[in-house]
Amino acid sequence: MSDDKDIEDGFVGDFLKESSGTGFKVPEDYFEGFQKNVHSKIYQDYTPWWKLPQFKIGVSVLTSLVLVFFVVNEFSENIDQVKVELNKEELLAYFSENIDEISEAEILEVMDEKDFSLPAQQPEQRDSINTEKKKEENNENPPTLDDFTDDEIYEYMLDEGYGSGDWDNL
Amino acid sequence: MSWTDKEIIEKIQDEKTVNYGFNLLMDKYQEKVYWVIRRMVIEHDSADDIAQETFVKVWKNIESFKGDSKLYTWIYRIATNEALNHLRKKKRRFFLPIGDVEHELSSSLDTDIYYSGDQIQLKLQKALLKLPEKQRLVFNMKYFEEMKFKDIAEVMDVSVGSLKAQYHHAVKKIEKFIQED
Repeated sequence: MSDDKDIEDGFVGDFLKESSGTGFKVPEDYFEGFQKNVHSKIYQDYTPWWKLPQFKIGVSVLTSLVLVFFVVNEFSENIDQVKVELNKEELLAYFSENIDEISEAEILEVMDEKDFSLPAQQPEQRDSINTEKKKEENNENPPTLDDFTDDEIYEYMLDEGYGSGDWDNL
Repeated sequence: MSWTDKEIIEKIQDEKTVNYGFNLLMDKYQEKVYWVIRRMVIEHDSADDIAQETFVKVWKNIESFKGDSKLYTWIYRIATNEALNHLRKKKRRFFLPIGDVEHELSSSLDTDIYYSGDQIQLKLQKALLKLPEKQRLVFNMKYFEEMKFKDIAEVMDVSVGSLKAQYHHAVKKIEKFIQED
């Protein structure tokens, strides 16, 4: 068998004579961009990983995320701090003075509804409250003359300077 | 202007012209290397990756090229080893016998957008894919690349005699497959 024996001398050769080539194709302009791809690959292989653009971009993104996290965290802490520093009495006093300009929703943002409930009452406090309540009721329904005795009426008239008190002989 | 291998190597060995020399080398061999690989691995994407990797290895090892073989047989050896490694990895990755890998590649030709062979070319490719991979490599280099057995022996690091035997067996098998089909 010589080095130069040609395949075309046999059956396969006759078969292949009916066609030429292999039928394989490449994308358009594939070989034009091939060298650039090889150089990029060499650059990636030879550049230390911390100098690669992908690594630098990754570090930048991570740093930005960490900064954003700290800023947001700090901001939300400041809001909580403001809420804590003002005590309830001060807040209630402020709301009372400016009640016309503040809505219920705004109040409830900084205080719970339970902050507005009355504390548990002592018996003395309860009596004084009841007395106050009675006074309020009396003011709503003023007394008539039938509610006073004659002596009380006479005493009142003397105090107010109405005559000498000898009304039996009028 | 066509540069000889000797001139290309001199350019590469000079620090001032190393990149220029490497580009000349790629200009001269990129298509040949690509097609040697493509005929083995069939798929364009695989051939593209392997061809790029081949030239990266050429770049890394060019200083160790002693000139005791031809430049292009040295490059072809890197390319064919990469292609054969790719086929073996594919077999290991999918736990397939090598024959099944070739069967899968054969089937892919029917739908590959980067294959437009006529019936005869398709038949030949499918017949080639039934050969053992080294026999297929010998056939491709002899028939499609029109290389001398002496150069193929340098690439594959085998004797000329064994190559001639391999080639003879490959032709007979292709003949048989084509007649049976």
